[in-house]
Amino acid sequence: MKNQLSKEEINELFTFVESKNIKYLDVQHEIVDHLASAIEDVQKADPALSFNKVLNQVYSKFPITGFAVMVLAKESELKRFWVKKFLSFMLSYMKLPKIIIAAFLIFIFQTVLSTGLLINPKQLYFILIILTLCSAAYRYKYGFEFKKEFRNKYLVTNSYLFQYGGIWMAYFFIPYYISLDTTSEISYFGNISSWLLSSYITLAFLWIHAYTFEFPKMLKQELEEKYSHLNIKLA
Amino acid sequence: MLPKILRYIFTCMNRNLLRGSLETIVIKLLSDNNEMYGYEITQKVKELTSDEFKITEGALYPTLHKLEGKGILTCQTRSIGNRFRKYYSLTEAGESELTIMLQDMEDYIKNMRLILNPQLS
Repeated sequence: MKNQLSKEEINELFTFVESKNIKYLDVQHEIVDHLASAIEDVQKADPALSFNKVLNQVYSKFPITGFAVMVLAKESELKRFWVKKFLSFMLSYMKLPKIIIAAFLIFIFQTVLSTGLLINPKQLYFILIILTLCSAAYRYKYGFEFKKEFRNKYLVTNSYLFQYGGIWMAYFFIPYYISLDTTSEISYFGNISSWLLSSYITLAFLWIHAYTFEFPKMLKQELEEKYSHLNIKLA
Repeated sequence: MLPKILRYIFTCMNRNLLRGSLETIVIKLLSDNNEMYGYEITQKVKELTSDEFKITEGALYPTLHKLEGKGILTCQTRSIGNRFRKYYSLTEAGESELTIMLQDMEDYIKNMRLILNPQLS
């Protein structure tokens, strides 16, 4: 009596799951194991039943939407997971010891902006844009975000990249903010708007650093801990 | 016809009750069994309740992912012959959550008994 499904039968299960519109490999592995366990259980009780017959029997117990509920639930949980990770990293700049770095940066930017001697807000904004482009170039060369397979093949990397994209939204606020005050000398030292703007620019600097170096490290760690079987190479 | 409708209503009610208790069931089972995989959880529940409770895949996996996202569960994928299997286990946060959940559940059952059978109190 056979205990486990053969390699060919497992491959058939992968084809079956894929035919049900499950394109992500990490999700496919999870569903295939569930189906295989259920099939093995039925065949253990009645070894005469054919693989295909048992597969249909097992699949018929799933809801009419098939595996969709499982995938949607996993997708939304993964997205939430990455948002939580990114936010908790950024919030760590509000606690000791990192708050010292954040406060120091805010103070430097505020001093520079309020005196207007070295640089004006518009120039600073362009520096941010250039830094962002440098980060994109760096990630294009050493990173993974631009590879199609990370968007299409694995749900874990897809959801990571989905949340990651939201960061760009932050840049739309700065030109708006600057347009409120078109002079290069934004204000005198101590003005609330210059403090707000320097806080915002500090946040943007920290984001650029985080999504260039820190967030990819988080993904790498997650893949090593939970998805080592997929052998995903980031760089 | 009527018994059929009634049975359907009772099944739906059971399903809703079960759905509401699913997190507690999963956490308790993982606490008792150290680590388990998805299919094993569905079978264990069937076995413990003599087929009375049937956890569907559509309810179990979203719960597992939700608990994993909350940091209550963690998972490890291991090779078992021709395929890989994801084993779930409780984190430290999950262990402390279990105590709270069990207490809540016991209080709930006690109060439900009081409502359903006031003469027993």
